[in-house]
Amino acid sequence: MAISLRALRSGVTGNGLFNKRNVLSLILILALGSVTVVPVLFLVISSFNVADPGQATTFGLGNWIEAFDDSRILDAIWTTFSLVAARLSIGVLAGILFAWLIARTDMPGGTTFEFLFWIAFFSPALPLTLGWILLLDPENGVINSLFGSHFDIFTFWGIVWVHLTATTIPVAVILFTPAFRQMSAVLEDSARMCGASALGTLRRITVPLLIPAILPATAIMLIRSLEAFEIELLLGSPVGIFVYSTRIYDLIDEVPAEYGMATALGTLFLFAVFVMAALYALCVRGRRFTTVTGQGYSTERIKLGRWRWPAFALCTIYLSVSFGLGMVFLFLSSFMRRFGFFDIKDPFTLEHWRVLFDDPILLSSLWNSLLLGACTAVAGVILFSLVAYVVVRSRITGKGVIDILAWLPWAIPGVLMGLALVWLYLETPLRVVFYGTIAGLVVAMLIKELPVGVQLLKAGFIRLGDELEEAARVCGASWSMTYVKVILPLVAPVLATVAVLSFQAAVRDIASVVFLYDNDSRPLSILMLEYSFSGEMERGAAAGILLVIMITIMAVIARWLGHRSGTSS
Amino acid sequence: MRKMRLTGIAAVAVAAMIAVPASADFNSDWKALIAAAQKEGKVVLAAGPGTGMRRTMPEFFEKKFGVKLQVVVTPSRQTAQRAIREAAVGAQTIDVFSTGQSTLIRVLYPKGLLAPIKPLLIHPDVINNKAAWMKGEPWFLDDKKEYMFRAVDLVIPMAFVNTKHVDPNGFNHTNDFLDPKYKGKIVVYDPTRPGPGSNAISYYMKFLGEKYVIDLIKGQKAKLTRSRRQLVDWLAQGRYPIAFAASINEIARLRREGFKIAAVQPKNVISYDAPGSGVITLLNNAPHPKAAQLFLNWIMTKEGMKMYQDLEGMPVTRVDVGRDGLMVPETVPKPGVKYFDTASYDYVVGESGKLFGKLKRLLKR
Repeated sequence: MAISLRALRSGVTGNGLFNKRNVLSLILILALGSVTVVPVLFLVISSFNVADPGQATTFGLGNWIEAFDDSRILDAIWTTFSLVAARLSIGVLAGILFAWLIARTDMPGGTTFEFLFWIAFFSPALPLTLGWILLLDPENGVINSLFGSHFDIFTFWGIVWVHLTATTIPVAVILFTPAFRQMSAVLEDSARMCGASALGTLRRITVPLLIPAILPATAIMLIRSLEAFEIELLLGSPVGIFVYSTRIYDLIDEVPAEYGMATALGTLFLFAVFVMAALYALCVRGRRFTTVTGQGYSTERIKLGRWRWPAFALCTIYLSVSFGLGMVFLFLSSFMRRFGFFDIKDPFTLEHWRVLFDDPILLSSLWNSLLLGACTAVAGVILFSLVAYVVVRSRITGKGVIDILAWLPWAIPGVLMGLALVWLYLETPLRVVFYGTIAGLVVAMLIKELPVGVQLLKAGFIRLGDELEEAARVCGASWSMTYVKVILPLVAPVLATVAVLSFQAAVRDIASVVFLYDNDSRPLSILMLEYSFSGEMERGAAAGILLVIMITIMAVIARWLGHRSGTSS
Repeated sequence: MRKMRLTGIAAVAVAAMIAVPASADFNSDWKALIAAAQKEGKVVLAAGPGTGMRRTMPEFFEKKFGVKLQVVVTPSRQTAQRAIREAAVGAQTIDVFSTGQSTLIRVLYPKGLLAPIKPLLIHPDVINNKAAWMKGEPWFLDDKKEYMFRAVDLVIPMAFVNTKHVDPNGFNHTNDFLDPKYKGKIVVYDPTRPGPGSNAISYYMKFLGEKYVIDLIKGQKAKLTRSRRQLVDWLAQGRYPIAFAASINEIARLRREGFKIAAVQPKNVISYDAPGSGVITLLNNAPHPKAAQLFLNWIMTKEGMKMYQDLEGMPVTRVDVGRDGLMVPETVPKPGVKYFDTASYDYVVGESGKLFGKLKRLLKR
């Protein structure tokens, strides 16, 4: 394998069509294609199948006409894009600001803030949303009751607010910070020497240099926003705010399910992904973003001077309000007899925790989640880094195809991807190994996280100069040794980010695994969902806290490993 | 506490066994069935949201028979879709499915995905104990009377009200709900989705007409929700003090927590009864057929039905279990009173579907 990859990197070729490079390229394309193209094909073909489920396939345009002829769908699409635009325009700017403060300035407590953003992102959205309802319910919300205010969480801006606090801003900070941190400060130093202010340097030097990192990260947020579901369901549906994903869910929640219409709607993602991929290519084409070279690397931070403590106060206030309050109420809710009811007899109880720990399924669910998260993180780091390396740094034939294939899983909403995999597993001999097993869930999560992992690592690799690798080879190091000892340590913070993101995605995810788990492979997230289904929100909150604890521990370990290897390199 | 409950249930079991003498044949068949079930190791039961069966029952069943009872809780529609997908490739993972009547009668039964239960019943307490059953024998919903065991018969009140905010005696006629003072005070489980909301509102549309439904839902600006929990939370808070199609388990829980919730049933319309999610079926080609057979025989005994009633909080179709401990006694059918059965096979395959279609068009949102 090492020899083969060396061939990839150094461009060693054989003769004719079947030279080593082309064969390896073909293997990679086939392997990646089999896990990414098949679900997309399933989506596209299903959207044209107008036969009832279980009947012989009949092709037609009926699903498309029906789907887009419905004014409710068009309203939902409009609402979705309005929500996405509001969230992203605020979230990306705030994310850039916080990431910059954390990674590029001498603001006190940056590392702690970054860690808190991680935890904010890891916290399951469902119970956090319940926390916000408890606080901002228009009639019984704690804040409205205490201060006589008139906040209403069941509105468009209520949904935007919960998304910003629970997902958009934390994920922006998580995705932007490693890129900010990895960037050499040489150019910023030069800007400052020429008299530019700190904010001017951020706007004119730092942000443009980080475009390859900011664009895919924004794309990740955009896609995640399009398929966002739980918060809209909880806050939007009661007041008639419907989004695209809720409509898709409605269609596949029918019995028999309206797969045709759902998949026709799902193909919108395909267009969105192609547009994003094209925009990304357009933005980075013909530009150089190399900032980590063998010719000197400065990581000196910008001195904020008198703005140090105001910046600290900004982060503290933001995190206390957006994350602290939510967490406090998530924690509180697990001890409430009935969530949100303070005026009943004995409003607080340990009963939910007792019943949770009495549930024999808890231990197996915890174990399943750990196994699922760990396997996804380890396999993800290996797989994603290889794909990203091949795309960015190899001279392999057809690497453009590989790049496109790595984007493809985004083309399908999580719920439909889960369904596609169910069919794939059930209809093939893969069933024995993957249907209802942890291995099946790991594969689902690897596919789902492939675009995130690969784009983040591409952004890391793209900024590495060739000199370090060439120097290692001149010194006699093999490709594999160079890869492990030189390349990977240089992107260690990104690797840690990818590992933790994969871990947390795997242990939190519901949409991709809900059709694939079995009683023996049920993860904690599904147990939490089952409690919610049963109306036992308080017990669900307790399970959610266990999830947060598990992910926090993983985050601490990953950060420690990332920093350690990053420092040692 | 749980041990005490288990001991109590065990005592009921012993009494039940004594009540109906078992033949030597049964004893050997029963032992053989238990042995075969133990060999299979487990039985997988899928149940919908709100089920209490995951509590106590798996532990009790395993202790009693040495066979694991795995309870998977997912929305019934998802379970039905899973059953359809798995059956298509012969990879079934679910043995027993407890849910409402609509999906079973309209989808799984016509597709041939259910297996007959009646021929598998061997326990004398189930098949020879006529006095135990509401209908003189286990109640099956399907036209052949052997596939869908109706474990529950609930009388559903038209609405539940929070008596702190609304006088329950003010609803003698269905038009009382249309009083302008209740505008913006009503919450309904979304009737445009299959489930308790559509079941209830279709029924009232049948008897009171389309105009009544439009006046009630649109005219009164009723809030529609798809969350069982949110519906009862709003009822308890008084934000929407009148609730249609509330979950009976949730109402029971509210009452246990001290909320004053009353059932209201205007006199100008007869009540209807339904099984809730208490229709128990066996899936065709179940992966653990013997364990499933054992479970089905056991759940229909006095012991099984009593435990089911206690855990689900709903009156079962076996009357010898008594009605102690039910927190919503208004749902227990009264002897001699005629109810409209919204779960009857003919109604579900015929009129109910048309009513639902009309309802969706009327309330399209």
